[in-house]
Amino acid sequence: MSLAAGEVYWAIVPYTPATPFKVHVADGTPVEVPSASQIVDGLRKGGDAEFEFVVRAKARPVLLLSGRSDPRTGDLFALRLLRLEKFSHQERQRVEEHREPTLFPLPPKRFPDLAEDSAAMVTAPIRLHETALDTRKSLGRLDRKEMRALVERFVSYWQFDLRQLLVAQIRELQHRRKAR
Amino acid sequence: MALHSSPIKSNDVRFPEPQPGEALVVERYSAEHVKAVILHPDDFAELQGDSELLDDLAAASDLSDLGVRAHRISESPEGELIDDEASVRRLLGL
Repeated sequence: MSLAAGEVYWAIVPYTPATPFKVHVADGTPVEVPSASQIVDGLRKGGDAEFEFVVRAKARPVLLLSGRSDPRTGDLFALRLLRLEKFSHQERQRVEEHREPTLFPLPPKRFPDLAEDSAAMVTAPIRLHETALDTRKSLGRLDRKEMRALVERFVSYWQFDLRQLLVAQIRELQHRRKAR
Repeated sequence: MALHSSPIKSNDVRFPEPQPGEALVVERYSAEHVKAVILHPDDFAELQGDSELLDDLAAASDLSDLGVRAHRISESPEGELIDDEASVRRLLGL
């Protein structure tokens, strides 16, 4: 399977679990639990016990933040998309003009198979298994410059501290340039 | 992705000779639409070298066997699945 950063595919994506949690039981309707601590305490009381949770999911397009996938794990890293029709005219314009840093608009010309204008949600990264992706067809792809801009926004929003990495790479670059 | 070159024979195109340090910008219709940029070979070699260097620096580390094993362990259920309502409610104090 060949995947590339910036590509969009349909995928099965669960909503992020939040309270109230629903615990599946084989002999009844799911048991609702109002807090995470109640579940933690209950499971710790039960030794190695585990529950099955009922989590709602839907098929939605996702943008691959990285093209990297290792067949040994099958893990993929992606961003959720949001349809721009959900916004007012002013809000939509704000997103389309790149004035909303947390929403990266996908240029429609590059996503001919994406039915509606959408934006990648910088605030909504998801880890997916490759089997949850419908890889029959990519719906489009951001180009390299757009991906760089998106990743920059992602790193800024999540406040990844890359200073050490940058300093090390600048030093290495200086070293290699001198050696040339 | 490092900058790569696509050779064209000089008989097939006509263009002025750029000086070192000079970039000849070929415009189409206006300055906003740049069709091509012609560089001196020395400048192009430097640009290509920088591009390769940056590409090398961005190379990511591979997932080790230990990393894969850690992944498998974390994704494997370890305990007993409790899914009868009475036990679930008892554990949760409901």
